[in-house]
Amino acid sequence: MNEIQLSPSTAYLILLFFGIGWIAFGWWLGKRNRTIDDFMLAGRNVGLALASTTAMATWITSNTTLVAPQLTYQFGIWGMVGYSMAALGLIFFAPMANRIKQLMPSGYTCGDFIRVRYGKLAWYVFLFVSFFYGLGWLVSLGMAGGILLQALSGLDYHIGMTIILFICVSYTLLGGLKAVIATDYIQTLIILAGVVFIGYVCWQNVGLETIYKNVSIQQPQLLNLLFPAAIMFLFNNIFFGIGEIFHSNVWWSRAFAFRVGIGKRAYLMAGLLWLPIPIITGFVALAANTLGIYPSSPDMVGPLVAAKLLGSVGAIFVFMVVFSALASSLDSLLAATSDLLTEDVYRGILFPDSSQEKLFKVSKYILLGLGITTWLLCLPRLTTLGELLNFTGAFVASTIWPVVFGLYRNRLHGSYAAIAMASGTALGLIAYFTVGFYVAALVSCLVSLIVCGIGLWLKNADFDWQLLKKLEKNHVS
Amino acid sequence: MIRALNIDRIFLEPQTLYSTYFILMFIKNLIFILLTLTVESTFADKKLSITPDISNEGYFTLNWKQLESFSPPYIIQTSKDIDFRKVIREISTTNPNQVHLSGFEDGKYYIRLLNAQKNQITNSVELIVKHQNLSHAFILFFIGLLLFIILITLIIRFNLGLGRPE
Repeated sequence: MNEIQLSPSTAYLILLFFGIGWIAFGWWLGKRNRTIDDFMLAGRNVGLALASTTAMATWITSNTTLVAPQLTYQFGIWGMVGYSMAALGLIFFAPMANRIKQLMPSGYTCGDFIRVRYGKLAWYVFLFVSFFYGLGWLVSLGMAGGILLQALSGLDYHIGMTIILFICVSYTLLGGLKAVIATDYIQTLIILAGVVFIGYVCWQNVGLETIYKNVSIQQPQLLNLLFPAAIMFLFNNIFFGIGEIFHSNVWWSRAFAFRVGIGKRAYLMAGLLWLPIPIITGFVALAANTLGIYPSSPDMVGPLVAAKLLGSVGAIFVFMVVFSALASSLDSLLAATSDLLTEDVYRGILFPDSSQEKLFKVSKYILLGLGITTWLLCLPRLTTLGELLNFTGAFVASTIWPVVFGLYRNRLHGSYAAIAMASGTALGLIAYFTVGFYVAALVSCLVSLIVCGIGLWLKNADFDWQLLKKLEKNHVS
Repeated sequence: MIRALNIDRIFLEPQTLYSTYFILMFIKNLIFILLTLTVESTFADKKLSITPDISNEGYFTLNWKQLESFSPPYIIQTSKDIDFRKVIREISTTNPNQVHLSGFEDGKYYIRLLNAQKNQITNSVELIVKHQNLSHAFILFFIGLLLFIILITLIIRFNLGLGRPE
């Protein structure tokens, strides 16, 4: 660790203040939750302002505040630009959000769509991919909480991780998606103001010229536009981001929760506002060596630079920004993954005849269980955030084409969708281990497209779109 | 004069010149090996390790242990020579046992740790940076670009064509 800017007691005080604030807010919002629709989908009536900010805040996460600087520190200019391209996932999902709401006005999860559209085989493969990704992201967020506290205040990783998980699980449990969306709104304001301020201070205090000069001497490869691994990383990260959004219930549940016609504008606005954020957080990492910061772990570089630039008072500010970014994603992911477990596993596989009241109760137990599982998996700090996240790239990128063809074309058959996801994931993982983490998503996406193309050419499923409206079982496969 | 001439003659003879050079080189290498062994045995318990030792991305993590008798800051020296005649990078860190460095170009590097008084306190480690093949990177880049164009085209076409027969 380089320089610890906050005392542990200050860190505890901030956590206590935020913890009590968010949990009380969640409890207040959750008081009026009466049905499963209220808890899981915020009554399906979210307006444009809240819709845009929740989409943006959820996408600004540990990835943006910790991994974007990490990747810039490792891959230089391409790392920074490549990371910002993850905004394309939100932008491309914008028209799809409207299509989802139109096709499934009474849908709950993305699993509903895959089950009805493609049948059980593809559904099982999709659930495996989705849970693996969800858990990977949850663990990375929990780890990020611990790393953040350790980097800024010297608190033990395990204590920080436990506190952050506890706060997020508590208010999500009490308020459901309403609490998630409302806290996201406030968190977005904190994050935007904070990130812009830190970027401005870095530019003013260190200066572009000094940063350029130092990086070209100390880390010349970071400025090389022909940096091979970084070139490989560029499209890999784009498809990773697109895969994350296209398949994940975090985004589908919001599409269901937004008022009719809002989804497209909300996701488009969120994507455009999100685009410059990784550029700012990444740029900060380029100043690390100039400031004499040499992180012990690459994912610590962002907070360390920000804390160094802003001093001990500024470290409080940095702490609040990164904590908000983490919480805004952690709560969304907890809610969306527990929805998927409740709707697809509990009701879909185990107890199909469960009543709405029963599901309402079960969803809370599932959320709590998910929080505990995440905590257990975060205990051994196995890898860096970047590596953990990119491991899931092979999984999610395989779902891009089955989701796109599934939403717009009735021709692709479920068996080919299943093979596309399974083979894409398998070959993506082989690429991950043989070449590097920066090619896994790209290989997975390519294989999945080839399989989908063969499927479209060989067989016509002739799917009846009305089945989705009624959310009936798919009789096609 | 005669002796001097003789010596010149002896030394100027190619065969003698080669053998002398050979002997001198042998002695130099022997001294170097002995010195290295001495240094390595001196720092055998103060292990500096590197992960990975062959980097395809120009970044790596240095890890050191058993430095209780030396408190931070530590100085990390990087050189392209095993005997650190020319230090190309020198940084100071207060990290207790680890540092992650990045942005290295292709080449063979040697790295060691010094205390604040610039005395060597660990063994030196060898790092080979061999970036991925650029032509492979471009192949993947263009595959990515192609997939990206296909995806954009399909999403636009599908949305424009909504309501029309497939």
